[in-house]
Amino acid sequence: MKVEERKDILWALLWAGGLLIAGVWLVLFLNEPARERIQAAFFNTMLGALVAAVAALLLGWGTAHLLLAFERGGKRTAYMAGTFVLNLLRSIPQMIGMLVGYAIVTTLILRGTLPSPLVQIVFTSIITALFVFQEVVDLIRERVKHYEQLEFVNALLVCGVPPRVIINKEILLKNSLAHLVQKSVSLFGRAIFLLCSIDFIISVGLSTEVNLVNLPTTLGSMLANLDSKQDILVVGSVVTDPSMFGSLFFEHLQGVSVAFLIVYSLLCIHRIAGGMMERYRL
Amino acid sequence: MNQRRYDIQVQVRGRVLVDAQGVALAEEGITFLFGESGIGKSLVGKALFGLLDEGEYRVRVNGGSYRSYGSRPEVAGTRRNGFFMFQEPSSHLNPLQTVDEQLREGSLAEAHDPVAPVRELWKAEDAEALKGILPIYPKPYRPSGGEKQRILGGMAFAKMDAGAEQNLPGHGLFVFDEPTGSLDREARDRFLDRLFARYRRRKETILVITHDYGIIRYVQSSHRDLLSCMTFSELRLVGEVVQARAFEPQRFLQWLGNQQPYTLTSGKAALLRVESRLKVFGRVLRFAAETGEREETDLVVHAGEVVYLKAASGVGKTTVAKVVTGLQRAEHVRMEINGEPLGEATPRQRWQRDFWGKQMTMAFQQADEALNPRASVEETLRLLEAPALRDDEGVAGALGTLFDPEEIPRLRKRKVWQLSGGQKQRLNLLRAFALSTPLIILDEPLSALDFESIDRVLALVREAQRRSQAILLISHNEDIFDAIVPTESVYRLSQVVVPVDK
Repeated sequence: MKVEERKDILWALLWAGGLLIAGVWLVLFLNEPARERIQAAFFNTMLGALVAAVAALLLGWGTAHLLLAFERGGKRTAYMAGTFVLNLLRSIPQMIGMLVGYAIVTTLILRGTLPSPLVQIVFTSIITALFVFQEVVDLIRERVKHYEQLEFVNALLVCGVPPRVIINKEILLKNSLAHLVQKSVSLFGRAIFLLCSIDFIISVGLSTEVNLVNLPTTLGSMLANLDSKQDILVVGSVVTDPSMFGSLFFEHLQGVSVAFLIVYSLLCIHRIAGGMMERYRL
Repeated sequence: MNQRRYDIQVQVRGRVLVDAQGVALAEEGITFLFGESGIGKSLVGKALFGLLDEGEYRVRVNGGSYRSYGSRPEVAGTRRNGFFMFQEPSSHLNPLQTVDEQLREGSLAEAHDPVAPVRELWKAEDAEALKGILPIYPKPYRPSGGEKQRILGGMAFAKMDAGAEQNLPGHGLFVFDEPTGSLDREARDRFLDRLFARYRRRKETILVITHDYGIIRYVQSSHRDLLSCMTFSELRLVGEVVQARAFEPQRFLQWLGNQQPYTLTSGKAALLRVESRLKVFGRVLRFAAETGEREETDLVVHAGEVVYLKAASGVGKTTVAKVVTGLQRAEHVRMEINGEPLGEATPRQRWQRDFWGKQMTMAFQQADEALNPRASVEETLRLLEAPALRDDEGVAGALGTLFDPEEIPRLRKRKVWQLSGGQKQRLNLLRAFALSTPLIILDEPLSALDFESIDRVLALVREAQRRSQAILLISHNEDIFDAIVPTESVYRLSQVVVPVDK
């Protein structure tokens, strides 16, 4: 297979390569405390996004199954109620929903209910998943509906194969894996964007209750850090004073590298998801 | 009758699609090319006619380039004076032109009356139906598959007529790729009669690609005088190579003559009873016994009985099969399985809980669509709740009933989409037999199969019957099933116009 037909692999390699080069650069030119903060922020953001993507996948899978069971079992009221809740969640702007979720997280932290940073990351990721999992539900339902029109599903039913096996094994695993993986990659990118955006918004001070001090460091909160903001402002100054360009990579490394990690990761993940769509003709 | 032999290799992007050796074509004779689906018969036919696009395919004919094959005067001439009737009629007809316009297009217009040959393929009493088809655009659902096939057959005949009327020098090559696949026996025989009548008038080179071995019987009984002008050959996959071998018609006829009729052991209980006049898609369908006066009757299948349900193309045989299995909701149906009453209101959950895979199963008509293309052969069988298929030996044993032993090891892990049409059909049938349910419904079980596989499938049916399983056969392969199913177990399905609720 030619390289242009495997753009997803190419962009995954470019992402890994870019991160490696950035890592080596930071080791060489950034002081250790700042570097450790960036490393922690990157790790926390990626972990949070990964947990969000996995949680969205599981939530989507469970909800789709529930709705299909209601639909098949003739439980019209339950089906309508489920669809209503799903659409209600869909109607809430993701940012607003997540801000409310963060307020809840902060309250729990202040009460001491969420003591460990890992638990905090998982909790915030689940909140993120709550506002993106509808896409997984739609995808699974669409795949199941499509395949139910095909004769092989009828043939399996008449052979006594249980519907749950047909849906999970024959439709989702054997015929929709590429769709689900592509959706997960896309959700992973979306979760990074949402987590960074929300952390950035919170850091500029939405309230005294919701404070970055209470939450684990992420790339978004790092970007909102005063030092980073100054570093980023220098990027604008390069336009009027190009001689400052060189200093970006040595003197303003913290802010520039955080911004690079966010933008470059989002770009690569977007391209990986797009490449998968092309390769598997999704 | 001069016979040419061809070795044909077709590749696409370095992948060999077909490597056929020794394909015989009788010049100014009629060649029947049999073989199971997906083996490469159509590609061979297209390669011989010069239809393959050199930009897409790399074709070698007798070791030489395709260009040099196509530029031979005899090939160019036969193509110009000939016709290729495609297997899939929808791909042949232009959806943006009316049928009538297409019948008068290009060289077909040279025929005195291009519509007349099409008319010949319709029964006299259905002439009005043809009138309704001529002014329409061929969309996917209208005309039907059988009607499209007859239109294409008529086009080929118009081209033959034009050649005869103009007394063109040299003969044309006429390739008919599965020309009767959607036709019932009566329509098929009418097509063959008209084709042979034209051949008697003017000797053209005719290649008929088919897997309907029943044609042999009809030729033998009704066109025996042409046997000396006919060549019968069969394509078989040997390793990675497709070999063309002469097929002796007597072999099939003897085999057919040796078939013992399936007989019902007396005293068995009725397993399935379907009342006549079921209503589905707004149509009322009735069953009639094939015996005596063909009186209307209920469809009854006893344990240990093989019942054959036949009908003209498009009447609704497959629809009835789906109604009987509970997959298709009828507007009205009364039936019993093992004494349990079922009807149009029976919930799907009940079918699922009590009948599917337990009391009954079904092998669908189109194996291509009935199997999950991304599952392997082994996965397809292991998915079933059949104790015999839980271990490797069980799977190998099941496969051994319809596949050659040497074929099995490389077949097990192969995905369904990688199988030939015939292999898919065999797997499709195996799945139905592997479950050992009291009732098995087989929809067109012999389609896409070669002679050897047909024999094996019929042996499986016989074996199932011995185990007291009931088999409901739905097929238009009347030549074979009429010979082996006793008349008292044959039913005819037809449509009535009286609504069921009046």
